Amino acid sequence: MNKTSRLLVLVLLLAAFAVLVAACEVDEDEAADPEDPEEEPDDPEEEPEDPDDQVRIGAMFPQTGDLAFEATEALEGVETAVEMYNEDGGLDGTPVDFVDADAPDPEAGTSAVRQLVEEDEVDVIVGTYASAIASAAVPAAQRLDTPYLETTAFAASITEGPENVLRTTISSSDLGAYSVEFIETGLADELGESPEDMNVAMVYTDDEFGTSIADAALEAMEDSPAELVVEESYDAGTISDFSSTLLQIDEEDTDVVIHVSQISDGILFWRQAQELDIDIPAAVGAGGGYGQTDFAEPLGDAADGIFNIVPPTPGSIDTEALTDDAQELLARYEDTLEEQGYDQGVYTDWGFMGTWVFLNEILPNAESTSIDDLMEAAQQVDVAPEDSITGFGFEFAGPDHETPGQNLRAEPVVQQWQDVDLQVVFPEEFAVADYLNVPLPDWEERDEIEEPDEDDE
Amino acid sequence: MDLALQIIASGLLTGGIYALLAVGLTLIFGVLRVVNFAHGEFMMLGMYGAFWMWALWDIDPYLSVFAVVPAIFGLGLLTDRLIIKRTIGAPEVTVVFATLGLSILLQNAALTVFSADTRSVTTGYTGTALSFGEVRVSIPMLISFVVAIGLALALWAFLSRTRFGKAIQATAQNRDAAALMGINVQRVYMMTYAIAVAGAGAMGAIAAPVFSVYPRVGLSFVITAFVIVVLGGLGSVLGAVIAALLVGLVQSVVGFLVGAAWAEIAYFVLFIAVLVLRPQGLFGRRGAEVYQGA
Repeated sequence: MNKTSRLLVLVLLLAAFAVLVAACEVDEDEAADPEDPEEEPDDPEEEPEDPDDQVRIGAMFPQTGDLAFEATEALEGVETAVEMYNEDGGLDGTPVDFVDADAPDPEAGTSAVRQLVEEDEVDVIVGTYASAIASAAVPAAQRLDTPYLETTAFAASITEGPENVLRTTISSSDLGAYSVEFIETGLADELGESPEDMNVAMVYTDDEFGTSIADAALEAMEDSPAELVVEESYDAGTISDFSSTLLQIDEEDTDVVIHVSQISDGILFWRQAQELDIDIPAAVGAGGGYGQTDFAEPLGDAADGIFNIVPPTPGSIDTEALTDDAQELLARYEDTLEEQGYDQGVYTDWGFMGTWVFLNEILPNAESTSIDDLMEAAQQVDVAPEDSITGFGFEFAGPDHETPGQNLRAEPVVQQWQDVDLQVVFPEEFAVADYLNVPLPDWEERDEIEEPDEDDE
Repeated sequence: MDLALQIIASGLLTGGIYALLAVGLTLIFGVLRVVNFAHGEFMMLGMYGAFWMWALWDIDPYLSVFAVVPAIFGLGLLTDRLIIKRTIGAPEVTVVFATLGLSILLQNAALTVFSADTRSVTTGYTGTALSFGEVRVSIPMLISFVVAIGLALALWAFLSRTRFGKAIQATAQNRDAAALMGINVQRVYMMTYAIAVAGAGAMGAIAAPVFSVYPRVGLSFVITAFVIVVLGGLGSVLGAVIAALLVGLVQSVVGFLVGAAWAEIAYFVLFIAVLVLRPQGLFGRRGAEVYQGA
């Protein structure tokens, strides 16, 4: 072989090695070891903190690259919270300063932490949207003795080790565990089956987001009367055929599929299920692609009845149930977004509310912006669900908890796709719609319904 | 039995999707000696072309392919003139980084112009299938398969039956000797590159009813296509087609028997085994690639 051939072969061999390594599921926590001696922090205590200094918040989100679209929405939510807080007078009459940094991937996330702390001299970092980036950035901030407010990334590992993080949104372990809880307590009734008779398939992407949700769901399944009959993980970046997974699901008489996916693989899964005429009585998506309109629109009627588990937002709950103060805050927030020309998405809402609680409930009650003082102040936070525009409350786990800094009141709800719109259907107290298509109609029945529409066109 | 037939049918259909992409890659490598890392991005552009013609004017992707192919062919000519032509004869690293750079450029251009949104084509035949007993065959996948295999075989016939095809083969075997025989080598290079990337564009358009499009979609297909090219034998068009079907089959069978996560590992193991036992690939000629004439 000549040099070019050898080079090509080398590239492919490296790719093969990478696949094998990925299959071994390297522990992410080990990969981002907070005790890494090569990343010795500059001693932050060399510069004495001046109490008169303006508090500076550094926001770190992917603003370029594949993740930029929704991450930018989250950034705009954070920025809006700071803007409104400063309109109200800021911290003891001093406005909070705000800077931002681009973090399109984990490596850039680590660099962005350094830039924000060492060059921009921020006191607190707010992020991050993507779990993989947060998993790298939070330990990096800890090495620089900087507190980290996570408003939008779900991975369980973010609050399972680092001591510098406060997470205002849900943990993926809650999403995974709640998927199983919903199957046992809500879905089984609707399907008219007892949980003991239910066969569950777990299908998930092999990235940080997918595995963290799946791990929690699989752990919950161990104590569940329902039986796990299929467990399949896959690379969302390269999957081009779900037929083998779908045939297994069919062979095992599966009653419900828990699917953690991105958008394109979620669509492919359901299109192939239809082509192979494999009827799945119920499907529960855990965030990711299942929560996106780009997932439901191409599927059309075929999406009707598919569930999605996600933290609530003002767009998905009955906001009349919120207190007057929360409704007033919601109206003001939406006006501010409009003034600034920002769109209101779910990540905007979570970014805003998390930052708003930090600015109004934690920062004013902390003696300084040190990790310890902010964590101590966070212990006093007690925001009820009805006092929050997102519909979930705030109460942070203490240092002795297994997930220190996690918002223990961030509880998910179950939504269902109904006419390309997500409606909360469970738990009952938050429900805004009745169940639809439980169990999901057989494909043959759907075809009979769809044919006249096609003729009309 | 029906289940086994279903698994085989699904595997072959998926393999067909890869075939046309791999054929273009192997052609570029066989003739130009260029590892075209940007190949998947031409497929991505083909998918966007088909998507937008469907979204804006309701044109079916199987019709828009006739507009997509000339457009990507033209883009291929331009790319060859501006980038590829200038890297021929340069150190391998230059060629690798030039096409890798082109790949990143096209991905980010798509990201800027089309955004990171996932876009999908939905037609009257989306989700439909033919039944052969208990075996279901997806209609859009079957159409993609037939068109991909048909185009790949047409390309093979073009290379072996036509005068220009033979000129391409002659250039692949020995550039200097081909030039001495009066073949315009630069023209052969330019046309080969444009034909190959137009094939990727065609693949993108006919795959649009099956797969969603987003800026990095090409990358997900091209990694597998590279494996297929080496497995089939560098420069072997027929080898690429057969290796593509084999990879599809291995993915499907291993995916069902062992698990989806192992499917990718299985064909990489197959790939390494072939490299060890038959370094020239399944259908490559031993030593064919050394006749560079450079």
